[in-house]
Order: sequence, then C-alpha cells, then structure tokens
Amino acid sequence: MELVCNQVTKRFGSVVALSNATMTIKTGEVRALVGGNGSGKSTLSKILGGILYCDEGEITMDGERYEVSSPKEAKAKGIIMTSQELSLLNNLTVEENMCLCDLDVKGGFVDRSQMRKRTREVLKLIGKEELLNLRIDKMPANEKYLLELAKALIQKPQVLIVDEVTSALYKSDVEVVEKLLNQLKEEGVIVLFISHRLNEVFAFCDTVTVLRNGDTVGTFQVKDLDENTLISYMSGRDITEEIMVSDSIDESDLEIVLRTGKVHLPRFHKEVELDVHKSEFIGVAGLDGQGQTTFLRSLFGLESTVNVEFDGKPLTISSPRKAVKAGFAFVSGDREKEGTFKERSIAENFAVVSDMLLKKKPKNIDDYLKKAGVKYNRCEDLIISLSGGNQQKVVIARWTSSNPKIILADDPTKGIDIQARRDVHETFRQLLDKGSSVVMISSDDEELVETSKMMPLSRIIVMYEGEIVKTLRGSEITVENIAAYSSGKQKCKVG
Amino acid sequence: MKDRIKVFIQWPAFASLVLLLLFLVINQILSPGYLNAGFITGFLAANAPSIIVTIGLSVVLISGGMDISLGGLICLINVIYVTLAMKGFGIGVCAAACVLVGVLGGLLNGICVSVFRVTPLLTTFATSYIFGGIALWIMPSPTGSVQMDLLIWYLGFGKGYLAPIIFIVIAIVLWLVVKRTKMGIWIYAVGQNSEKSYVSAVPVNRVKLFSYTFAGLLYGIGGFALTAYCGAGDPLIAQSMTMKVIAACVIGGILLNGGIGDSVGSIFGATFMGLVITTVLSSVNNSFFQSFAQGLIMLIGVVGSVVLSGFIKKFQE
Repeated sequence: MELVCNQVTKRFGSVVALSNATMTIKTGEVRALVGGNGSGKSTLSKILGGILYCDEGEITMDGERYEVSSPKEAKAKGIIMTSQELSLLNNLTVEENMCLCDLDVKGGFVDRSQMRKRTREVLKLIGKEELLNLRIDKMPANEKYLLELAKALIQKPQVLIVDEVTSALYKSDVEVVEKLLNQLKEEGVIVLFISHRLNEVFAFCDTVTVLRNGDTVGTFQVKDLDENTLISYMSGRDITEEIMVSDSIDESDLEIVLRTGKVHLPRFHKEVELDVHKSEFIGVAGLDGQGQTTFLRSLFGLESTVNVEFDGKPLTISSPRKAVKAGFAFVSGDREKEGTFKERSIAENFAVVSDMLLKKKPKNIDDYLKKAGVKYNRCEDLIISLSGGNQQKVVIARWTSSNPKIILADDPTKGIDIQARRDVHETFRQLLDKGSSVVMISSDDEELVETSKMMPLSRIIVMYEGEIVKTLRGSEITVENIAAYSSGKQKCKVG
Repeated sequence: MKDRIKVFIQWPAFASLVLLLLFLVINQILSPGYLNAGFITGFLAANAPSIIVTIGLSVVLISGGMDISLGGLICLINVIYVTLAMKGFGIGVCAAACVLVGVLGGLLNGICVSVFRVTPLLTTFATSYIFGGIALWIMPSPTGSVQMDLLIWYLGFGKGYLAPIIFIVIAIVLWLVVKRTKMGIWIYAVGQNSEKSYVSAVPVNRVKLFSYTFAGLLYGIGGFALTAYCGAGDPLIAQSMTMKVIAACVIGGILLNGGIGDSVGSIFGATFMGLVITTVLSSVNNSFFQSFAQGLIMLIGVVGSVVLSGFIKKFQE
C-alpha cells in the first residue's frame, strides 16, 4: 500500500494553513510528522481523516484518488485518526465508546456481549483490561489517551494517524505504544505519528516529514538525523551546542513581587512554581498546550482558587475580581470572548475595569488612548469600528491605566500587525519602568526573543508538558534554544 | 446486590422517584385515604396522554434538541381525529391518521433542524404556530365528538385501569426497543457532543431526524389518548401542555443540554406534575390562588430534583 500526498493546500480565509504538502508513505512505515506551532501538521492529518477538505492538490492511496467528505468515509477506506481533543464521550460506557464507530448488531439490536468481547481484546493490547468497568469521566488523562488509541485500533486501520496521543502518557504507557506500533508495522499498517516529543520520533519512527509554517521542509530517514539537525529543520535555523552558555545574573538581591507557590495543572498532574521579580519581564515559551495558559489563568483566579505570596503577604485568589483588586491585570488570548465588549464604545471598553471594579473614574481617556497608540476617531465610537490591533491596544490600555503591579498576558499580540505589536511591547516596557512586572505567553518564539532584548530585566521560561523545563537568561535567549527546549530536548539535564 | 443498589441510585431518574414518593406520602398525611380506586383511575385517564408525550419529548432532549411545537401538534392531531370521526370514519382510520400526523409533524421539525440546521428552539417555535394554526383553520371553535365506543373503552376497559396503562406501556416499549438498537446509543452520543460523534462516524443528521420523528410518533399516540379522554374536538386543547411537559422532563432527570437522562424516568416527572395539578385543584378553592400554588410546588419540584441529584453525586464521591 502506498499513501501519496501531492501539493495539498488548505486555506482558512486568507491564512494559508498548509501549502503544497507533498509526501509518500509506504506500507509498514512509521512516519513522524513534526513541526512547531501553526506548522500545519494538524491540518494535514484532519484532511486525511476526512474532517477538513483540501483546497488544492491530490491524495492517492495505491494510485487511486482518495477523496472523502466525512470521517465516516475516511474510516471506510481504512484511514483512522485519533483526536488530540479526544473523541470519547463521558455519558457512554467504555465498550460503547470503543465500538461507537462500528456498533455490533445482532437481529436488529445492539450486541453488547460482542462489543464487550472486542473491547476486552483491544484493551488487552494496551494492557489496560481493568478499564472495562470504569466511567470515562473518572479516568485520569493518561488512561483516556490510551483509550483514544484503543478506539482507533479496534477499527482495524490501514492508515493510523496518531495525533499527540503520547504527550499525556506515562513512561510505561509509552512503552506499550511503542510495542503496538512495531506490531502494526509488521502487519503492514501505515502509521503517521504526530508528536512534539523528539525522543519518541527517534525511538519509534522510520522516517520524518518536517513542516514549518505550512510548508513542507522535507522528508528524512530518521537514522540519518540527529536531534540538532531536526530542530534546525523545524525552526529554520542552525542549532549549535555552544550557544548554550549561561550568563550568571545574581537574582538574590532582586525584590520578589509574586511567589506563586505550587500551582497545580490538572491535565498534566504536575505543579508549576514561579517567582516574579519587581520590574521584570518573563516570557513564557513552549508549543501550544503545554500548560502555559492554564498556569496564567490559574494565577488570575480563572481555574480554581490558588494561594500565592504577593508583595510579601499571603493572598488567596479565588476569582478574577479578587485578583484585580490586589493589583493583577490579565490580557486574554481570546479577544472576542474575553477582551472586548463588542456592543460598547471605545471609552467604555477602556474604562470598564477602573470604573466598575476599582471605583475610580478614569480621567483623560483620550490621553491614555493616544499614549497607547490607538488610532481612532471619537472615543464614543463602538469598539468594533477599530481594527483588531487597535482593539487589542484598547484592551491593554484598559489594564495598564489601572496601575497593576503585575500583568499576565496570554499571547496578547496574536493576529495583530507588526506596528501594533511594537506598540504593545513598548507599553509593556513603560510599565516595567514604573515598577510593574509582566508575564507574557507567546506562541511566536521570535517575538519573545525580541521583546526580552528590549526589556531591562528579562527571563524566558520554557514550558513542556506542564513543567518549566528551562529558564533562559541574557544571551541564552535565542530562537534556537527556545525551539530546542520546547521540543523536550535534554530534558534530563535540566533540574 | 450492592452493585444493583448503586446502579439504581445512580440512575438519573432516581431523584424524581424519591420526589414523587415524598409527595404521595405528604398527600396521604394531609388527606388520608385519598388514594382510592376512583382517584387512581381518574388520574390515569387524565394523565396518560401527557406521560406518553413526555417520553417523546425526552428522546429529543437526550439527543440535544428542543421541541416546543408539541402543544400545537397535539391540538392538530385532536382536531383531525374528531373531524374524521364526524365524517363517519372508524376508530382504526382515525387513530392511524393521528399517528401519521404526529410522525409527519416530527419529520418536518427534524428536517429543519438536521438538514437546514435551524436552531431547534426557533424551528419548533415556528412550527408550533403552523400546527396550531392549521388546527384553528380546520376547526375554529370546539365542536364534535368521538365514537361512543372509544369513550366507553378508554374510561371503562378493565375497570378503567387498563386502557391508559396500555397506552403508556406501548410508549415505554417503543422507547425500550429504540434504546437497544444502534440508534439508542447514537442518540446519547449526539446529545453529549455532536462533533465528537461526527468524528466517530455517527450519522449525526440522521440521529437528529430520527429523534424528532420518533417524538412525533409518540405525540401521535399521546394525542390519540388525549382525544379518547376528552371525547371532543378543541383546537386549543393542548396549548398549555408544552411547558408542563418540558418541566416534567427536567424533574425526571433529563438534562436540557442533552446526553443525560432516561425517558422511563421522565414518567415520574410527568406523574409528579399531574399529581401537583390534581392536588392543588382539589384542595385549593380560591381559583386565583391555584396558579400560584401550582407554580410554587413545580418550582420546588424542579429545584428539588436538581439539588437531590447533585447531592447523590457528591455523596458517592
């Protein structure tokens, strides 16, 4: 069997998510698909799985044109994918979930004993027979991910697409997966293995296709590659070992504004701890979904109650309201949902926090907005009359005008133009001068490097699977280093 | 045995069963001996229609939908039955017409929701006027009567117990059959999360279409039972039924978000609602006070069932 993608292109509006993806996979091959944030690997797998259509290009299986319009049709042709978001349903039993794609029927009725038998067989494969009688919503994340894989296996795939299933697994579980993949390989199944764990790519896979910003960089034999070369393909830059020298900055003299204590990240069953100094910029790097957002949202009281030490005093943050009163500010990554009030004016959007929560009527709204670089006509206009970048500047001005001691920003510059980005960074710098601190998540590594260079005191923390795997300072802060640690490289060497 | 009890307590309808029993006991204390044969037969005859309709609606709710057209549709069914009966058709023809109208009405809802993807609330809001409108068009004011045989059978067969019970049993059996087919699992899957179901090769549109049509079938049976009980045609007969049936489903442990609940359990909700109305009507003489008393007890019922199921869940953990 042979699966060929030829010049496959997918656009979302004006954004090209995948451009001219080209690759050939042969029977019994385990192919890794790697790339950073927004590289198009999920898009490609969704096209193969029948969830998205491709705009251009052609996919063939054994020379026959492969065209499907739903996951059902894809499954009928033997292409089965696991879902990163998990396709398990909490209200169904384990065997109903496992067999949902192909329920057994006997005489018109569902054949439960057959379903149970098939489920037991597949659970034996993943070594988790005891899961049969449990409820899905009571299971820990790693077992749900294993079940997601089992659900794909039970459908007897010819092409199996494994999308980041291993990222939530424990080491022993990963070994099971490795064994399974080898077995599938012997049966002649094509496996497309999507993972950001490079060590797994090297352990399980025969070949690797690298995607970057929607482009196909190339396909390589895994045995001809080393980690640095692969990372340099992914980031588009050369990686050399010698950059990894640490500048020693003595941080013990600095005043600590916020000691987060241990913040629990439920998805990873891990705890993260961070100390933020006065007037410090901390960039949070990492691939999407490594716990960065949950960590930041927890600090703003959006996840559950956290106990921190703020300004030397203990503080319990149980709601955003409490956080704001203590001097926190939060710029959400989802402007539509959590940033702007669409049907309200620019002035109201600007003043909402200080007016309604802090009970201070803001004066000189125009001055503030001008200083923040917002381009607008009258501040009574609706906020949606502004461009995305300007809307975001209003949101940021809203928070900065309330004189916060610490700003938590979740990818604040996502989807806005370069000039607007610079203005946002400049605003943050001025805040540092005034003695505030900024913690900013960004999915754009270059932005983090640039921003940290313009700040007087800065640090980049790299998160990977719910842990801070590396703190970069001074000249260590490079796109290469961020890319390397984001992929879990040399995890063991970091304390 | 212990597992059996656990499963029983975890049953979504458990809270409503407790609530119903509690209400029966309170009634018994307040007016001892009210549960006599006369009360029970009268209650069954009057409430069998809404119990059947509740089972139908609960299937739509479990699949994640909503249907507020059922009142209008049942009015139409009643009107068509009586109109046909007045023209001299037999019981069989009239009953078949009821079921057919119910199925077609449900099918129309289902097509709008699944094929044209209109929000269920809007679709059924519009169709409720269509169904109710046609009913008024055919029969502008209450008139006519059903065949005498039907009336005698419904109120008298098996000392007045059996006819309503036969209707209810038919409805329950229909649902239990569906629940044991592929469609039964699909309905729960789609109600929980339609995107995940789609990715799992569940024919989401077909499931939605089926749930509305199946509900329509039960509305047809319920409408037939209602007509047999009233014995006459009235174009506005069921207009106030819609919200009562929705409330009955909620009390019976059906989640309005979909995916959770059991249609059999919604029977308890419907029985509770029926009891509340009967009790208030018979014990409160001031008619201005009746609505308030009904509303208050219903609110206690809805809140009570939600709080009780939450408590049961917490207790288990």
